[in-house]
Amino acid sequence: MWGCDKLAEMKEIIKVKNLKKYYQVHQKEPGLLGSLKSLVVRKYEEVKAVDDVSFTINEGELVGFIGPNGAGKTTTLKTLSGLLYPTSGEVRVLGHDPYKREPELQKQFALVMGQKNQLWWDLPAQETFILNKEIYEVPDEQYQKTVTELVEMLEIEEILKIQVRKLSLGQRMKCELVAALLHSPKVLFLDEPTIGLDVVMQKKMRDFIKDYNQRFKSTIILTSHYMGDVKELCQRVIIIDKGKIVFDGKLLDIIEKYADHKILSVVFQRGVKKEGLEEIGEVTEYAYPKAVIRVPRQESSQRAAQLLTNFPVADLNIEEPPIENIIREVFSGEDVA
Amino acid sequence: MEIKKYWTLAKLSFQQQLIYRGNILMYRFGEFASTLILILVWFVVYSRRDLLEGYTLAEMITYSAGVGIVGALSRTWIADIIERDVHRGNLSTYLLKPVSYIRYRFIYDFSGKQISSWFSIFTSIIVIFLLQRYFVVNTDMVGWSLFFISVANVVLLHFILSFLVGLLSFWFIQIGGFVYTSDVLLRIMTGSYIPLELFPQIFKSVVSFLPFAYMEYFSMQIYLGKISTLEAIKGLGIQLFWIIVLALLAKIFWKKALKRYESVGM
Repeated sequence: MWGCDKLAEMKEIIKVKNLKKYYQVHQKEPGLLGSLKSLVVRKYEEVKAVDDVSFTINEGELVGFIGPNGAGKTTTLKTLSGLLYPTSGEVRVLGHDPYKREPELQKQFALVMGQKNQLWWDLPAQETFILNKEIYEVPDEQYQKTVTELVEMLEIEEILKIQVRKLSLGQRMKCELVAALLHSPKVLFLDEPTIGLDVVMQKKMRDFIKDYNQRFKSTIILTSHYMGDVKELCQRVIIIDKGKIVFDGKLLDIIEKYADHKILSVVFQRGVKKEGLEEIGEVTEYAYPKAVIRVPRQESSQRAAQLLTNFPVADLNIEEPPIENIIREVFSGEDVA
Repeated sequence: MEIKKYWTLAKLSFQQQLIYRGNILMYRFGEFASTLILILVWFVVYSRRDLLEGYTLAEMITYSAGVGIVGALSRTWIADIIERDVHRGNLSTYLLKPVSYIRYRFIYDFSGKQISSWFSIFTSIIVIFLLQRYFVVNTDMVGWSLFFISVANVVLLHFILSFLVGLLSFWFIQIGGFVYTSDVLLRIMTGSYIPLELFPQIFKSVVSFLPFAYMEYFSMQIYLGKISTLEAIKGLGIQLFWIIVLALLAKIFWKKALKRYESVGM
């Protein structure tokens, strides 16, 4: 009846149009004298935390927000959650204006901040769960089902009855997640969910987020400055720098768009002179028998052939540069749109 | 549903306080000691006279013990709670939920203080028991009823005043100094140390134009039968007037504070 247009099938969950959020930040000159001065005359400077940002996110998407500290990631999430009032622009989450903080919307989303906690410190996590159940008016049956499912997914059955202050950071973070997900939010904002966790726990957290997204078809925005989180979880990334979007698209497209080189990693049979290798490309690493050489993207095959004919090569790989490096270059580059 | 929400919260807040009952008990020992010292002072003062500004020794001792009970019921930590929420940024977690922050914190505070309040009342009862010879017992049912209504109003007034002080944390972040000084001033102006008659007349006149004279002092005036029923009812009206005015002020400043929180993104 409505045709099979693929776009029509996808439900738009989040819409941000020309969002701007400027802060007045008071400037203080260094030292005691500066402090005294600022008591009398205060200089204010406008900081453009988010500067004309637009994007839409559809149902079930898991989008990664990346960018350096202070890029505007958290500010954007806070605006989407209704904690901040936008300086200008339009924000819609599930058709609501988040700033109005309507219960109908609040019951459908959750914001988890890795550095904030909502669990009651002196009581077992279970008690906070029960309070959240009442606050979000979750029916008994649904509550039981959700808790059982989440507790099983996160493997935290034994710690539910232990006072929160006695838990480890990783255990606490898991309980924070359960507390935030009890009302089965359709939209989930995760701000640095793996901050401070060890590698094993980071991995578990990622697996959980992935699993949760697939199982419940929830829409998730995740910010992180661990590339690992984003690489493993998100198909789509939005890169923010200095309040502006520098990239919005598939993670793999970043490589095509920004990487002008490829990496040849070689293992030699015999020692070779480093100077000789410089003819092939820029030698970024050389420790016999291994070498890593940067070559221009278009000429990568020719250069590889050249390497094979002129040097005693035991093994050769042509690789894409690591995404971390590309993004680092994107941020430090001046000519980024 | 709404009631269930807050009932669950009240139970949790109570449980949490229960964990630190030992610490709370120690605070109350200190309080007990200072009440005893005050009463000791009254004995010394009354050794040379029978009446002080219209109070007999028995009335004065009853006043001291009674003010302790009213103060215990109306004590509140809401200013410190707000400071903590703002300082650590936890306010955000409440703003995200389908719940009113003010109501949430009122219930949290009210339920959380119960253990502390009842310990205080218990110690006051010990004082009364030890000095029962000197204790004025009110036998008038109307007096008791008016007294209870006035105490309920005092509870509200203290909460709103402390809430207003707490809102300062949106501008000053750390407000320990404000909280301490306002506590001390409040104790003086509400007659929680000594009855307002013992201060210069001008002081009493000033606080009578403010809500302070209609708090602890006022409740004890009703209990001791120092004011007529008519005056008591008039006083309850004035209490109500202040509750409405201060609640409106609190609402206005709460909105301003939230605006600030939102625009600065603390």
